[in-house]
Amino acid sequence: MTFAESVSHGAILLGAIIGVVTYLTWVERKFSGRLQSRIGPYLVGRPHGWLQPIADALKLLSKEDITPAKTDRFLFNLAPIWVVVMSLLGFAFLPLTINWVLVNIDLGLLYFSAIGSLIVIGVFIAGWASNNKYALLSALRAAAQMVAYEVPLLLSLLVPAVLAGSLNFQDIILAQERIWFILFPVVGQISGITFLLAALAEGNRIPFDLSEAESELVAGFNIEYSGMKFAYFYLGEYVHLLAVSILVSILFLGGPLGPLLSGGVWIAFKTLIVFLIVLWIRWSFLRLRIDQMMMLNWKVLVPLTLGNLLLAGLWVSLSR
Amino acid sequence: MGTPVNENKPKLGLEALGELIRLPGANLFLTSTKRLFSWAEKSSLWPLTFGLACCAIEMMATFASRFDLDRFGVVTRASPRQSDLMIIAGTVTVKMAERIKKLYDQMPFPKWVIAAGSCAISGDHYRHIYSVVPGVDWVIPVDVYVAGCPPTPEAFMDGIIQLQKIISEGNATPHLNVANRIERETPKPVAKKLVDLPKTGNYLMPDQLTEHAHNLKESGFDYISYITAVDYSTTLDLVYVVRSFEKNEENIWKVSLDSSNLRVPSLAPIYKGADWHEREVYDLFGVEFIGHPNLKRILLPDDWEGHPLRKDYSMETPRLPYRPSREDYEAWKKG
Repeated sequence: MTFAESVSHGAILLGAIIGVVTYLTWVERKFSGRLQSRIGPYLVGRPHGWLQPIADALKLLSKEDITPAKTDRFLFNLAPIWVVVMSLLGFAFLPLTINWVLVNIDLGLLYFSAIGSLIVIGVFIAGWASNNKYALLSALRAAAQMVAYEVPLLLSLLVPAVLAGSLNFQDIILAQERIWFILFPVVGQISGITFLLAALAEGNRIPFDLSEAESELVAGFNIEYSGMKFAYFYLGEYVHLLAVSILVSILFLGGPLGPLLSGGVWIAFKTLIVFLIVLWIRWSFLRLRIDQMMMLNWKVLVPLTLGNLLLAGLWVSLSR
Repeated sequence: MGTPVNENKPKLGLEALGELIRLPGANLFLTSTKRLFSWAEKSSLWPLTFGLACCAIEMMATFASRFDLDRFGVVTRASPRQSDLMIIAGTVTVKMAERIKKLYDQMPFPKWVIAAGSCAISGDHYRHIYSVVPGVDWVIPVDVYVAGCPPTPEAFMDGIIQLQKIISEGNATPHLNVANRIERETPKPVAKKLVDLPKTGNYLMPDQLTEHAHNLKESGFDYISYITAVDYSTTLDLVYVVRSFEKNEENIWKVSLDSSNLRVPSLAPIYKGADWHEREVYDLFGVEFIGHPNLKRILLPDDWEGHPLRKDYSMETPRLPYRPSREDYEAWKKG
């Protein structure tokens, strides 16, 4: 791709992601409404509140932008931008069909996870710069949680790479032509489920949303942010969630592979299914205590994923 | 004869956003930025997760599945920085009023307030009480008053719809409620009659108290139910109730104190639960508990003067936290 081409493709992708993510908030509100036998957004744009995300975005745009007096001004403004940029950067390496990927490199998986783990720095900056006790506590929790869950996340992420023999996303997709990795006996299922769990913890979603625990920390690390800056955090969280859903569908569900329909349709369908599973978990389960969460990580997930990686390695070396 | 138009039906869709003009060959959708943003503001009202008393229970019911305020685009936010609407649901006490003012100031413009229920509107039957603010519009400007005690979920929804109307008409906050309120007379207390009650029960001398409590604790009365006081003008009785769950028994005794010398040994070293009970008695009656680890006010603000449940407490001037003058208010309104 030439420079002009990659810039225009990047711009199209950016617009598409932001558009999709705006409507994912609507999907979440409708879906949670159904789970709680409510209706969800209904009156803001008939039918079924289709203008709701636009109204929310416009309102957040027009709200007063507060920077509290005792904050660190530069860092306070940097944090939301950091979170959004780092969440969006991951998309550069994700293939959305078999041939369409913005940056095709051999270390795609490694790059993606490296950039995904930089989001926590933005969260920590927000907590520190806000000069607010709840924000700081929340940021400390988020940092501890994200650093801890990075370990099982990467260990379970490596299993598809080992099975495919490559860190390139396209090679991983093509290696699933015979069988999706989630259907791979034992190894695939364990790594798929542990990856989803670790990704939920990484994205601060229920049952691991300790950094946003309303009953303890009011609103979490973004407590002092109003208007558009708050919208940036929200955007970052949903972009990250979307990226994780796409990643699950690529690594475990064969991504764009599927009969009859084109690759783009298949990956969109699989991503939506994964996203709805994440929402299902979010609206059905309670929050874990911090010690339970750490115990789940170090005593269950880390040994499990480590053993699983060993098993996958054995399988590959024996079947060669 | 067309179908009757429901005036109260919320208008939040495209019809509220602008006009569709049908031209030959093309359709044109016209709106103005003012109309666009006021539509966005009224379609996405995020209230602060905040309830004061029983009205909040009805408010929660309104958010939940049967009534579902999310249909209007109303979802709660926990941080005042991210919310647009404050629903005052319940009795506003003087101690809470300062917090309400603070939370209101922390919200970003544009912001709105709904006073829900008769206590938030006027203090209702609590308005003569020393610790209650007679209406939240003493403290912050209010846009919509929702009547009821407590208001039904339907009334809450009607309040939201009225607020949306106010926003789309462009004449939201501030109103002159605060200034109007100041011109009203302050509530007068109801005169109290003093009744001499016969003294009955098991009386102890103050110096026997510690030993008695200690013996009871040893014999299995391990739970202090409450400590309270009764003021008889010249004397003041302390009432102690301890329980034993093992024996399923209760032990009640009283200590009579002279009103000129309200000092008594603290039971907090013996019963942990006595700590807060004694602070409450100290707060409302001014009894000094000697040996208490942390004898501070527990219900009223730290700088409160006097002890409200004493017979000699003056209620002539109710203490209100924030009373803007009309000049202040006009200046604030201008920006």
